[in-house]
Amino acid sequence: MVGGTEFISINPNVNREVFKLGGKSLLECYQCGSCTAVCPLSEELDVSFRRAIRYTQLGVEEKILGDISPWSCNLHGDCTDSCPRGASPSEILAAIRRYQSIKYDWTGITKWWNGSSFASKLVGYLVIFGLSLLLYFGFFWQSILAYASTGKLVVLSELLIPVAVVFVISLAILASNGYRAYKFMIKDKKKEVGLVKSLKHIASFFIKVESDAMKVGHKRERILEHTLILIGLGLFILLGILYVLVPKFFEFKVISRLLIYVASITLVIGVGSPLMKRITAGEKTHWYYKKFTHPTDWMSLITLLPPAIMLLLVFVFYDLSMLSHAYIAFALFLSFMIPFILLEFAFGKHTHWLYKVIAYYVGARTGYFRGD
Amino acid sequence: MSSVLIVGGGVAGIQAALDLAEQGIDVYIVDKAPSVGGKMAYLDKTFPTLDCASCILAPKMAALLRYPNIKLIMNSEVQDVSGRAGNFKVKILKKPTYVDWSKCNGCGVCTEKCPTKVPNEYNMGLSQRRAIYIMFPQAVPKRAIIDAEHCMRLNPPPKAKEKAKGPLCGVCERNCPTKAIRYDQQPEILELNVSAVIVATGMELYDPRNLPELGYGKYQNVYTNLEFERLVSATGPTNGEIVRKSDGKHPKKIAWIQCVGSRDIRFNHYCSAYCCMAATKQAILAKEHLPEVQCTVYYMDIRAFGKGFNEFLERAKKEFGINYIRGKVVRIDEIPETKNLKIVYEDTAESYMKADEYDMVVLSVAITPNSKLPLPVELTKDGFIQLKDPYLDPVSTTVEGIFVVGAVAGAKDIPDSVTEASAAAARAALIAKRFSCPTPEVVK
Ligand SMILES: Cc1cc2nc3c(=O)[nH]c(=O)nc-3n(C[C@H](O)[C@H](O)[C@H](O)COP(=O)(O)OP(=O)(O)OC[C@H]3O[C@@H](n4cnc5c(N)ncnc54)[C@H](O)[C@@H]3O)c2cc1C
Repeated sequence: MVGGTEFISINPNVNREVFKLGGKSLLECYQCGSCTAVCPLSEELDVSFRRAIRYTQLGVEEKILGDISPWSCNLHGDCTDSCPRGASPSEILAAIRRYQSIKYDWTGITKWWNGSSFASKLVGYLVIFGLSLLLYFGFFWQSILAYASTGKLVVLSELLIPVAVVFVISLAILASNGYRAYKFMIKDKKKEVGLVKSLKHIASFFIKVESDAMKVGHKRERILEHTLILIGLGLFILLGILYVLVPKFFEFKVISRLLIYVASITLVIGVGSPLMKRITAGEKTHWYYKKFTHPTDWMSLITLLPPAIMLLLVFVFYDLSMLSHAYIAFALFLSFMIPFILLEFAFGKHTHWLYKVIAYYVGARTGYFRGD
Repeated sequence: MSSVLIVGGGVAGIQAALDLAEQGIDVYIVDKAPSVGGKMAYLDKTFPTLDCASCILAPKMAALLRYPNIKLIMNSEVQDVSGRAGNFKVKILKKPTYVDWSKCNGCGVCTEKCPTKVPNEYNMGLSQRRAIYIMFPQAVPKRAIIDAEHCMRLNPPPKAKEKAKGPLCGVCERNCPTKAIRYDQQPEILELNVSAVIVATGMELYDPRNLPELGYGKYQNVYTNLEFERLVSATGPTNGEIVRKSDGKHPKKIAWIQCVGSRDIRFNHYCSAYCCMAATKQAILAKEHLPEVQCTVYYMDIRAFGKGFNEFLERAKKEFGINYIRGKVVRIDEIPETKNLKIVYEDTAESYMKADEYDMVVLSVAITPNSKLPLPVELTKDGFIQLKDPYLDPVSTTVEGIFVVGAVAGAKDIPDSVTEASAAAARAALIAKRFSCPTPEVVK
C-alpha cells in the first residue's frame, strides 16, 4: 500500500495444521508458480494457487479463509505432475480446503471430523450408528413389525422422523456455515459483474473445463466416478422427495424400481470404484488414489456405500415378497443414513458442493473469471 | 622432477598447468577435445565485467606452449589410474587425429579444400565445418584433425565405395604443404608415471529436450544459452549478428528462461550457479548488438552472490532496461505462422497465469558434471566429484593425491574455477616436490 500501512495478522500455527490435514508437502514450495501456470483452470480464471499456498505457509489466516482458489481446484493434478519440488500442490489445496471448512464451521464438529485420526472418526461414526440401531431395532421395532404385517412398504411414518430431524438440523448448520463462508470470501472484494453474466460465465467455464478434462484418461476416469456419485445422490434426493410428497409413485413398479436400481447401482459403482482403487493401489494406479488418502477421503466414500446397498436391498426384498427382510433393510438403511447425514453430509468432504457453489458465485460476481 | 597429470584443459586445467609449470614441475594435460579452452572458449564476453572472453583466455592458452615442461595430450582420454599419491600409473588412450601433429603447422589449407561439410560443434551446429578441421581459430595447439565418421576416405559411403576402384578422395593429403596427413594412424596407449592428478573435466550442458514442453529442438527460435553465446560472438556463425533461425530476421523481443533443468527434482536439484549472471550478460550483449530489442529474463530467484554481481544486475536493469519477471515458465507454444513463441508462466507479482509472445527464446540450461571417469574418486549423488572436506580442503577428493577443480566439483563460474585451480596446483606441487627424486637428466 502506497502512503499507508496495511496490517495483517499472522497465525503461525496455520502451516502446522494444514500439514496435519494432509498438506504434507506444504513447506517444500518455493513459489515458482508452475502449479498456477500449468493448471487448465488458469486459462479461464484469474487465479493463483501458488498464492494460496504462500498465504498458508506464512499463516495469513484472513487471506486464506477468503481465498476461493482452493474451491475451484478439481484435484486433477497437472500441478503435481510438474512441480519442480516434487510437492503435491493439489494435495496441499485439498488440505487448505479442510482447514477452511474447519474455520467456516462454527460448531467445531468439522474440526474433529477433519482433524482426527481415522480410528477416532470410525469410533464416532460407529457410536452414532449404534444409537441409530438402538432407535430402529429397539424403540421403533414394534411398529416396524406392525408395518411389516400390513404387506405394504410405502408409508409415511414416524420412522422417518429421526432422519428428517437430523436432516433439517444439518441443513440449518450447512446454511449458517455457508453464510459464514460467503462472508469470508466476499470480504475486500467488489461485486462488479451482473448476476446473469456471472451465471453465463460459470456455465461456459464448466463446459470448457470438463470437456477438456474428459480428453485425458485419468481425469476422465475420475470425472466419470464423480458423475456417477452425483447422479446417484441426485436420484436419492429425488426419490426421497417423491417418497414424502407422492408415495403413490412407488406403486408404478417399472419406473420407480428403475430409478431406485439406477440410483443404488450408480452410487455403488461410483463409490466402490475409487474405494477399490485406493485399497488395491499398486504400481500402475494413478497417484491420485495413493496420495489422496486422507481419512476424510476414505470416510466420504465409506459412509455412502452402506445406505446405497441397503436401499437396493429394500426393494429387492420387497419385490421378492420378503417383506420382513425388506423392513429390516429399511431400518438398516435409515440407521446408516443418520450418521451419514450428521457427519459426512453436514461436516465432511461432501460439504464441498456448498463451498464450491459459494466460491464460484463470489468469484463470478467479483471478476474472477477471465471472461470472453 | 616428478610430474602432475591434469585431466581436462578448460580454464581451470589451464590455470593449474601454468601454476605448476612455473614451479618447474612437469605437467601433462589430457583433453578429449582437439584443443584446450573448455567452455570458456565458446563464450563471447564474461560477466560481471563484460570483458572479451577470448582476450582473457587466449593469452593463457598460448602461454601453455611457452613452457617446455607442459605436454598437451589432445584428443585423448584417461583409461586407467592406479597407484597412490607420489606414484600414480596412468594409462591414456590417444585417439587418432589422422594428422601428424609434429608436421602440421595449422595453416588450414586442408580445411578449405575438404569437400565434406558437417555441422560445426564449436558453433553448436549453427554453421558448418569440413571433415578435416581446426576446432576454432584460436585453438591451442592449432592443429588439424580428421573427423573419421564423416571423412570420405576413412568412412566412405557404401555405394561410392563399391563404384570406386582405389581409395576415395584424398584431397587433404594432396593439398597439405607439410605432408602431415596420416590416414593409417592408429590409436595409441600412453603410460605415464605422475605424483598427483588434478581433475578438471568441467561440465556439459543438460539436454533441454528432456523438458519437451519447452520445445527445444522442435521450435526453430528456441536456443540454448550456449548457442546464443555463439550467436552474439564475433567469431560465431553469423559474425555476431543476432538473427532468427526461422527467417534470418533480427528479433524484437527476446526472453531468457532460467532454471531449465536446474533446481528441479525431476531433473537436477542443484542450482547451476552461472546462469543468472550469464543471462544478464547475454541480455546486455543483445542490447548492445540491437539497441531496439526488448529483453526479459524469467526467473525464480536471482542469485547474484559473487563480487560485483549485484551491481551488474542493477546495471542491466537501470542502464540497459532489461526486464525481470518472477515466474517459472512451464510451457512454450510456437505460433505456426510467425514462428514466434508464446511462453506460459505465472507472474508471481501479479498472481495469475500469463502468456507472453517473443520472437526468440533462450534457455538457461543446467550443467551436468563430466565426472564419468576411470578414476578411483567418489561422486556425490548429483554426480559431482566428492570433496574430501568442503570447508577446509575444498580441492581434495577422497583419494590422496587426486585433486579436483572447476565445474566438475560443483557448478561454478570462471573466477571460482580459476581460484580452485591455483589452490589445487599448490597442493599438487607439494606432493610432486615431496616425491621428487633427482632423475639422471636433472643431475646432468
Ligand atoms: C552459456 C554459458 C555462459 C557462461 N558465461 C560465463 C561468464 O560470463 N563468466 C563466467 O565466469 N562463467 C561463465 N560460464 C561458466 C564457465 O563456462 C565455467 O565456469 C567454466 O567453463 C568452468 O571451467 P572448467 O575448466 O571447470 O570446465 P570446462 O570449461 O567445461 O572445461 C573442461 C575441459 O575438460 C575436457 N574434458 C571433459 N571431459 C573429459 C574427459 N573425460 N577426458 C579428458 N578431458 C575432458 C573438455 O574437453 C574441456 O576442455 C558460462 C557458461 C555457459 C554454459
